[in-house]
Amino acid sequence: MCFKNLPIEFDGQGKAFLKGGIRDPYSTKNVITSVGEVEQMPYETVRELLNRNGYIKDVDFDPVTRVAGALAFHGVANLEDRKFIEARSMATLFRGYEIIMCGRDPRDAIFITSRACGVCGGVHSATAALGIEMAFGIKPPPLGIIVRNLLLSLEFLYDHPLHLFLLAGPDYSELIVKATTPSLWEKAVKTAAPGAAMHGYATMGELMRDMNPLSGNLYLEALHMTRVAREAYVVIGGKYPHPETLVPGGVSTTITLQVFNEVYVRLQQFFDYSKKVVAIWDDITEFFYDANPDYRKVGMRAKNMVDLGIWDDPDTYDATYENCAEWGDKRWATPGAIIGGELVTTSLQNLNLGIEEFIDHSFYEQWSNGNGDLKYPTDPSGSPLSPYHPWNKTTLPRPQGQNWKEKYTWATSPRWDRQVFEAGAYVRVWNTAAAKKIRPNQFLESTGTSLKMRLPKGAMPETDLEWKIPNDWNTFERNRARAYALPYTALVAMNDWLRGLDMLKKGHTEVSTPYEIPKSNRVGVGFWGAGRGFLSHHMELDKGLVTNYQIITPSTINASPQDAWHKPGPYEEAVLNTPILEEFDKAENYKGIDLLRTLRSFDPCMPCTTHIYAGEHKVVREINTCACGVDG
Amino acid sequence: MLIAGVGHPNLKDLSFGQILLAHLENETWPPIVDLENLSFGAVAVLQWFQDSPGKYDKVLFITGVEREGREPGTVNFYKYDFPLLDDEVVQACVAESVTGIIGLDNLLSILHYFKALPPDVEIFELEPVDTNIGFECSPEIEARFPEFVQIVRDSVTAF
Repeated sequence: MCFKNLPIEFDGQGKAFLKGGIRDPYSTKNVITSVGEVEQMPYETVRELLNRNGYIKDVDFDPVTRVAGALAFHGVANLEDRKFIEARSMATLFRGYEIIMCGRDPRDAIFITSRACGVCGGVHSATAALGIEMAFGIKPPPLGIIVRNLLLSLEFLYDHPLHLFLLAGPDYSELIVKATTPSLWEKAVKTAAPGAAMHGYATMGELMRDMNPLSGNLYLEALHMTRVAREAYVVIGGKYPHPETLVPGGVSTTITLQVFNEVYVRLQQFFDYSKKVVAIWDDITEFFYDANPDYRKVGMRAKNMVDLGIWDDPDTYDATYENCAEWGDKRWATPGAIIGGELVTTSLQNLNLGIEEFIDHSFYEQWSNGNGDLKYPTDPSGSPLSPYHPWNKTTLPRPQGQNWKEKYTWATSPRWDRQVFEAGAYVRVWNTAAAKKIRPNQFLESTGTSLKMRLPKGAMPETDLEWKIPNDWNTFERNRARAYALPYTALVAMNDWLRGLDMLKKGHTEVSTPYEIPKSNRVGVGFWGAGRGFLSHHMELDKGLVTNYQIITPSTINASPQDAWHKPGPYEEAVLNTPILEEFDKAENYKGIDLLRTLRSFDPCMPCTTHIYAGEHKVVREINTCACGVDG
Repeated sequence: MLIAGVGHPNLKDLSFGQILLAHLENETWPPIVDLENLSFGAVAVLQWFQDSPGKYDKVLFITGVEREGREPGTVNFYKYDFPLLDDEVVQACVAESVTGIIGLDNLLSILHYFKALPPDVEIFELEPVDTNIGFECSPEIEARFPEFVQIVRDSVTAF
């Protein structure tokens, strides 16, 4: 029984049904049980305190720098008690892909939705392809699945170093640490780095110096490594971040031994690099904890997180919704919902049933009164669906003035079982570690409490790493787990590469499957993931065209505002729990580093596309912000 | 010498750099001239330059860009003066570049900071007339293409 709040029960065969005896089962007036509840202070109380006390300050970041896209954050800090009493996350731009997609050939989704992001467009292409496959009733040949997995891994090998050293990394550099916590810097220069043998820095001060933006060797090395991954990606994808070769039912490129070798010479560079990256982030995390145990509270929030799993098994994946729980469980990254630190389900179907999207504090109109006629009262397996489920949702933008009590953002509030949850690379690591479902292989092992990884020998010796499910869940653990996601990704890629090579040797070179566009009404969903976690594309097709398209991105989840129960979103919760540990002599010199570290630990990637809204729900212009054109 | 177009695609005059470059590719140029579309992430462009250090003695960047107080259709042709750069600005440019922003100012800051530019850099900017979606420039701008080609020829001749 994985649902505590939704009115869904399961019979003896595990089939979901709507709980009886509830007059309005999906009403948002129904009481819910929240895990790890965090409250915003009432708006009026905050204003009163702001007016009365000089030490209570508005702390606004618009935009939040070193994140992708348009994120603004409003906080109110009590600089005497060193805590935040208000936190509001704002997505300042409207993402109109749901509207752009309506009325189009579903295959366009692969190319159009890719433009939702200039960092990780390929994941949107793949997610769209997966959803189309489900709707069309087709599946790729085994090598097509392997190649798609490889593309995803290569995208993450670009994405994770970028975040760890170019975006979040500078927060832990000499420049920032010295400016925000001088005592910490003094300690750093005297503290030996435990991972010196792996990363080569004798002291934490030396390590932090090389984290300096623009000049630090770790910063520059990460820039180089993003290129290596990008090069490998374009060997198969043709372009990055908007690939040209992803199609429904596989990929449209010829895969040869030469292609595989060109990918491998780049992939193998990440084995040694990963060993170093993990040692660096282990050392940073432990250094901060040791210097001040209160750093464990920075960015803390309940262990509520959901991931849809990624990297399909070519022997199991059949693209059907009916079998999604089975093929989902065989993914290299196990799908799952963790609530209060417990893995409550790994079933993709249950994960889908539990998803709802609320817009009570977002610039949209309500499409459902919660109990009206539903387009899809059940999923394709006959299990109950909420009126707030993406298949029942319609995107109705309604721009208006910002009001903290009412509506203040373009992000919606996705919830699972009505719980506030977060998305991230770390969730897939956590789920996979906890679920113990990873397929037998020579590089990765899931123990139930940890994920063990064996990295092959390179210039550095063969190395065993182990990511352990942490006791604390905070800013530092998010970054540490993302660092471990790098070797995890590289080893998944290695497994897929070896399997693909075997297929090539056997002459199984087909990478795509023929199809026809069905004309009947049907639905599909792509369950996939971005570098920063959970990504779904729900679609409805009719007469061969898209009639509804709904995207839930990880940053929509993490940047979500308060929901129908006035529960803050993950960024907001994490900031409300964050102690202010920065050192400053007067309020004017306060820089907000603890808040910024917290926000960046989620790897925010706001949809970096501007649409000008012209009323009547029409999107009249799109400005893509992408790094497209890097040809292989 | 390198002639490079910079900008987002399919936005009419905002895509001037790419569109004029495609037009220039149909013209005849001396063998010392390369034409390249550098409308991708500035860090990737930096790495493109770093692959062939010292290959070019002069670069001409062509772009459509909106500047405050400039009349639509205005052409500004000027030499890049290699301004002093603030580290935080460059850092922001890198963060923008790796997360998907494409633009001349961002590109110049990154190339300049990492010393990837030759000493002679010229900029050919057009203030857009029409910035809606479209594969071609606005008719007013298209009609002036011979004038624009001549500007580029003059730059090549001066080199």
